[in-house]
Amino acid sequence: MKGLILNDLFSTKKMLRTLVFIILVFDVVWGSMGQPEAASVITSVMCISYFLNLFSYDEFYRWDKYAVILPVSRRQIVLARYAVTGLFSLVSLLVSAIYLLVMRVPLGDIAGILGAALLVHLYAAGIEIPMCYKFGTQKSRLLLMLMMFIPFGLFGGFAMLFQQAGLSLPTDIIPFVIIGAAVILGLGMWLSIHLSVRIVSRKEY
Amino acid sequence: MFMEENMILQVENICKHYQQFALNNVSFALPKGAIMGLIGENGAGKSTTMKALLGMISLDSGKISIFGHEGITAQDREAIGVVFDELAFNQTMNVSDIGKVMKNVYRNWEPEQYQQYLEKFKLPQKKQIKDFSRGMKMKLSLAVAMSHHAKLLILDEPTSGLDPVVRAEILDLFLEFIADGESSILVSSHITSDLERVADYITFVHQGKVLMSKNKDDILYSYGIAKADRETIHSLNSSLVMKIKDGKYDSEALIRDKESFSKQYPNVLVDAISLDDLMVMLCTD
Amino acid sequence: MNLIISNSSGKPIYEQITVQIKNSILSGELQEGEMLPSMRALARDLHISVITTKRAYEDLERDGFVVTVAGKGCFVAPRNLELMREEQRKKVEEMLEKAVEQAKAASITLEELREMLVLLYED
Repeated sequence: MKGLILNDLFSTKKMLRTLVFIILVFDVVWGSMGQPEAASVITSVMCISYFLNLFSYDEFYRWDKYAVILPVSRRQIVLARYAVTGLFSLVSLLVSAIYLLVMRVPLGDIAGILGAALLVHLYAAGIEIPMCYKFGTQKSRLLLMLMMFIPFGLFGGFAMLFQQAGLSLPTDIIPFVIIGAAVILGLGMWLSIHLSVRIVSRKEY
Repeated sequence: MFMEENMILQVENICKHYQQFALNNVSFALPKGAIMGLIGENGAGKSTTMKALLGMISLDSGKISIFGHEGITAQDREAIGVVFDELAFNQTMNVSDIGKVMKNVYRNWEPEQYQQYLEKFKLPQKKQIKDFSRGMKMKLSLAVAMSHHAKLLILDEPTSGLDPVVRAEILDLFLEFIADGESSILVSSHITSDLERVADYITFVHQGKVLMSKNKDDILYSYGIAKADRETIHSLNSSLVMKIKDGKYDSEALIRDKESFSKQYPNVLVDAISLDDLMVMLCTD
Repeated sequence: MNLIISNSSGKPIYEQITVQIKNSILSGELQEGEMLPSMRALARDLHISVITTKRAYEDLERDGFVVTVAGKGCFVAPRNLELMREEQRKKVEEMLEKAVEQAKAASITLEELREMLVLLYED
């Protein structure tokens, strides 16, 4: 499995460089405009493209076909992909944290931003990885857009409703919402891995 | 013909149906220390057969034994080297990246051997693979396939699109690989002249079926093509005639045992046959 | 030992090998007990398939020119004069056959042919 993880990392060397460059530009520009929080949120969302690109590379270079003839199980192939995605997500959050600390953003806000970013990453990866295995990256990218709009649309809609009704969101339930969402996403992740393994095990190349 | 324990690969009546195409009762056996050429026109079922051997697709029916047992395990995969017609690595990598990946994939990976092949093939260490020529890419695939003590190589069209010099180099590598008497190669190609040189056995695939699977010398030296005018060819009354093809000015008949045939019909010209001739004879209506 | 393989002679490659090795043995170039290259090494060096060299060695063994010692290799067999004479005789016969064919085609009589042979032999 280590070999598969290495393969993903080596494959994306160049792409990583580009991504780091773009993030750097965002962080500097928006940071200098006094909006480091916005920069951080945007760049976190951009990081989702990482694992999608891994799948694109696989398809383009047919590594997916080659991987199944190597002495690794199909389960390992899937787990390696989740591991790399997780690793990348963690690193990006860590970088965000350092950036926000340097920019002297209040700790509470940092926690909020990172928490939200983590949730977005889990949500996107959990749904998208099995999709990519099942339908390929082309269709999955479109689906991702849709998938991102649903929760944001819902939240936005609720917020609007609350506002129109003259109510304000009770701030003290936010931690519970986050914990609840994390539990649901954790379970979802487990389900996602399970589903991906199933899809790949039955796949014909 | 052979004892079972001498077989590195046995394929028995495998079937796989697709909407447009089907493998139909494909059978053949590859002994240890031998090279088998899988020949057929494009779309005949060579690649599908190889995918079936490698467990990349499921079978509708039939049986495949590799290294003496049915079903392919991760341990079996350690001892199989595979080359697809297209390079399967991410081509933004360089050859030393690939070495590092494979070192962590194959338990028996031999970095020195890999290095030797890279040097022998003159493949640059740091250049991105996508800048390699087709020949270099193929050599890289072979270097990977042959650097982990494989006992069986499964190669899909490894020589197509390569110049004669590179092809000759690769064919020599094949002969070296089987020189221990234990390792075997299954190689598909539509360039039959390559296989005519080095293959020990030839398996002809056509429209998903095996038309013939035989010792190469038996094919080359016992089959022949009788050529004469249409009347003469059609009047041949022999069980040795396998197929007749009419041309505009003459007719040809595929002959199974040309020595016996010549005794029977001493006045009919019988030409030696090449694998290409045979393929054309067998595959056209 | 030289082995020259022609792809266009029309003669099977295994036969080309056996003929040339036989000649080397008959001419004394290959001595009794001398080891021949393994059939796999020979295949590799001649760039031909193992099945072809295998057939060649089998034919040589069948004709008594070489012996295979399991696990050791293939060796030039002890000289067997009778066998070699037989081999040579066969060759002469083949050539005579050709001469006869040619003679018949040119309607040269048996008597004439015999005269020619006597002359040639006593020359």
